[in-house]
Amino acid sequence: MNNTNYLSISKKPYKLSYATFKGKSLTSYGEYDLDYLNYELETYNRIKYLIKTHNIDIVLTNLIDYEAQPKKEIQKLSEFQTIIKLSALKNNALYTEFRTYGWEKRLLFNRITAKQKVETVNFGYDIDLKRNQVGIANAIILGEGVAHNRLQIGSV
Amino acid sequence: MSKQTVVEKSQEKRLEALLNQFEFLTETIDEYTLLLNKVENEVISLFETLNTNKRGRVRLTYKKALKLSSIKELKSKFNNGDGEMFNSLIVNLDIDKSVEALKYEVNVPEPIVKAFELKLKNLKELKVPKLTLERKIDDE
Repeated sequence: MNNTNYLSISKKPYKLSYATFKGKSLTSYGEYDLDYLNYELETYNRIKYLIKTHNIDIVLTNLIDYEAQPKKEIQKLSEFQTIIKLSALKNNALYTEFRTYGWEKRLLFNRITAKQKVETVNFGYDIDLKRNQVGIANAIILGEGVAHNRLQIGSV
Repeated sequence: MSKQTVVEKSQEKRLEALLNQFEFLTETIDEYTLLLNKVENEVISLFETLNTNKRGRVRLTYKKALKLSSIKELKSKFNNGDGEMFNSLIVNLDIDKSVEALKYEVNVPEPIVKAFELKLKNLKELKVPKLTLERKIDDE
């Protein structure tokens, strides 16, 4: 879909790491630190801002296998996903979750590490992400996978 | 159990009579509509085979109908797709055909198709009252 605008958001709930695509082209990326006290509202408003600014058609995030997550993380992850979904639907965007594990294995030659993700994305897009910006790398890998029709397993 | 007023009793009686009428009419019309469609199709087919368009009081005519088309196709019929004339068009949305078009013509992953379908179904805001007749259960 060459004229579709995507907003992909990394699943890690403590920062809002995102990337936007227009068709297959990366148009922007970034990261927001989320305020602990106003976490829900700030997350909702940041996503709303991104949707409106970039005319987003589809919001993407990772399909999470909750059984494989540490117990103490499950609630936070679930909360984060819910806020993303709410913000997307309230602001006229579609919301979908995609499984990226298989695609990451292929892209990173079976070496799925933070360092490998950042290096691959930096090389592929000629940008300069730091090691601690792996959330942005995740968002870019997700968005690119969907934009290039590489990801099929997902949910709404 | 509260006692019914005279007005309520009379309304209940009237409702019962109307329900019987509704059931009878619905079943009769459904049966006759099926038969009519069958006869009509056969007559049209024979008219076309025999190369005629009138016999007795029955005449074959061709009614013009609007073809189902996408917004993109409609836009191509207007020079200015952003103008007031185009924006004044009132259209009726066919959800199934729209989902099919996205799936097969644009070729997108299944989760996006599902999200698209959900969005379109949520656009249905009007509640229109309609009576339906349930199947008869034969008492043994």
